[in-house]
Amino acid sequence: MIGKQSNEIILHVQDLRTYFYLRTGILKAVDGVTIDVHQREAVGLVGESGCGKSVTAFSIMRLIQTPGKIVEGKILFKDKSLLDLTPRSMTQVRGQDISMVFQDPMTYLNPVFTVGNQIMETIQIHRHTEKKEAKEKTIELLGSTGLPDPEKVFNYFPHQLSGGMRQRILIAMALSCNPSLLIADEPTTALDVTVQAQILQLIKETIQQLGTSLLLITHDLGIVADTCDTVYVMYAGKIVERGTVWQIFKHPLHPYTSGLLECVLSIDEFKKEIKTIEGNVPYLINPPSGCRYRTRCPFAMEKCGTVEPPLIEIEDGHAVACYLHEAD
Amino acid sequence: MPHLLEVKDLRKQYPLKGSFLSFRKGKKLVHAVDGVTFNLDEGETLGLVGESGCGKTTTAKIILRLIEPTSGSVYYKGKNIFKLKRSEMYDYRQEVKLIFQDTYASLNPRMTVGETLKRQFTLHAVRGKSAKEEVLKLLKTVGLTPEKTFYNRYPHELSGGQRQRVAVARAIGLKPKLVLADEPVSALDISIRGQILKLMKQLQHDFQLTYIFVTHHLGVVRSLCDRVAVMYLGRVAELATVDDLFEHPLHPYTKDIMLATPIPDPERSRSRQRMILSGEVPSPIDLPRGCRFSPRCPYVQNDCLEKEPELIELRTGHFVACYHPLE
Repeated sequence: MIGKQSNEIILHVQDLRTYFYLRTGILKAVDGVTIDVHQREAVGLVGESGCGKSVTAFSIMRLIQTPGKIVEGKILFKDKSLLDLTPRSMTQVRGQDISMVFQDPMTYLNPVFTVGNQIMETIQIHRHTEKKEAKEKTIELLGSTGLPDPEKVFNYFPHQLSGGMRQRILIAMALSCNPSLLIADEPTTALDVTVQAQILQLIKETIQQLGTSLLLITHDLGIVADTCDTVYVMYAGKIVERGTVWQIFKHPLHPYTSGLLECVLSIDEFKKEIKTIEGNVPYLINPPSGCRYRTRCPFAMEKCGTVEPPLIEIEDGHAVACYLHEAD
Repeated sequence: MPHLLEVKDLRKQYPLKGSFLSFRKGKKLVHAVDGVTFNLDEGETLGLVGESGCGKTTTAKIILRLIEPTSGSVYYKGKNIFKLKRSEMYDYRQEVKLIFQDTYASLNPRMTVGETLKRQFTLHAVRGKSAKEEVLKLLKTVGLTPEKTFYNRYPHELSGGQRQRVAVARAIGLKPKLVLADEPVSALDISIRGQILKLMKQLQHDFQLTYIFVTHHLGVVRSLCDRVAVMYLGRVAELATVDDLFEHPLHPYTKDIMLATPIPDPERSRSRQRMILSGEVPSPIDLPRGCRFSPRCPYVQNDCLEKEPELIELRTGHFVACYHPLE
């Protein structure tokens, strides 16, 4: 938890729809997603693979490439519409106001430049500083991410570093211009548990220091329980439930959320019976009518197949898209 | 009763290739597995856990005789598997099977599910009913119904969970005794993961299988295994029953990975003790002197730096390789 967040919304995503126009049809990867991130808040976006959580993040950064397209929706960052920006001004937002950490750092680091050079570049572009000053700042940043011997690491190429160290480089780069929002897309999925704990601790500490907000995308409910204030649960391109971390984990309302929580195997409890959710995630070119979870839902009713349930706020801050909770 | 499988002081070293400019004498070695000892009884599930590079997969591969060890021995039903005759090896291959993590790599994309599964029957000349009938029966056992549709499908036409079911079917087709599963659920989503684990548990019950479960996921181990061997840098650091290990870990490394594993409950996760291990796993080329965990161990003392601790039985059935085990 990052501490007290204010009520000021810095990122407002409304009814975002990102479709991919494939030969076989239109794949509705993100189909009406609404997310708010407040200042100093850590928001978790959880879901299984293919539910559209990464596409949501890439849409916010406007990094969707053809055949993908943002078809509809609003993305407001500090009341500025990101979708209306010219590509050039969007470049200024990236890295400066919003920055991103990815799952696989090797793909996002240039193998032919030293890591120091790559971090320096970000600082020089956005802060227009002298080379010497940028280098000093880079070394300071490398040190603050817990890398031993930052002067030496500055001259290393990505392949000379371990997975955990590369992720630290990416975090240093992302935080180099004190962004207001950090988007972390599965930042620790490729790492071992002990290194994962180090990286999560680093992310938590630095964003707390800088007052940065966090949008954490992950499939690991353990990480969310540990790190986030607010949680959005995504299924097949839609948000099915939203609430504080306590509401989601203690009183899950959507059958999918409770199903997921039952499936989780934790180290501190023995589960005699392993629970599952039957069936598979639907294919998003031709999703089921009505509620997209109804094909796997044990409580599916006739109504679920006809009209899609809207996301309705049940109690303060806790919203769910399910007809089971309509009457409450 | 003799153990089903006995692994004794297994070692595997790979020579490191120098660059073509290096004329250094004395080749460097990668110590992938460096003295692994454990045994396994029939019907048991043993978890091999550890971080990447700790040698858990190499150990599994040696047991399957996919690679030869540098030294050490593996006894299956009292016989050294590296000294088996050709015909005995043939039987061994029928009784010991493997499930891989990546089904895209382990299933032939040009063969239908039916062809893939039929092959083992034709190879091992199962008499009686025709092989196709056996395959259909097998598909039903692993829950790929209707069997006839799945028989003619190609791997790319199946979802990740279904492909893993095919891999499971291939492993159990010849009614093996021992199945080694190398991260069988790591590539799957949590909702699908449960389906495969449940299936494996059911099959173990139905066919009296013995499992060696190689994984990095401690949660899976807790709910699936009877005993666990925690590996670190090619050696077993701790070996105990699941309850002993999770309730009273003795090796500092075991405790560390347990504390590092996130708990999916905000209350339990945020209230527990924090201890984050610094540093990363050292390279298996230049091993640290003495205890190999000493550079990262918070409780390191002088004697840890001198000699490697042996795996000793501290309590009944609870083995640990540490001079200063936790209380």
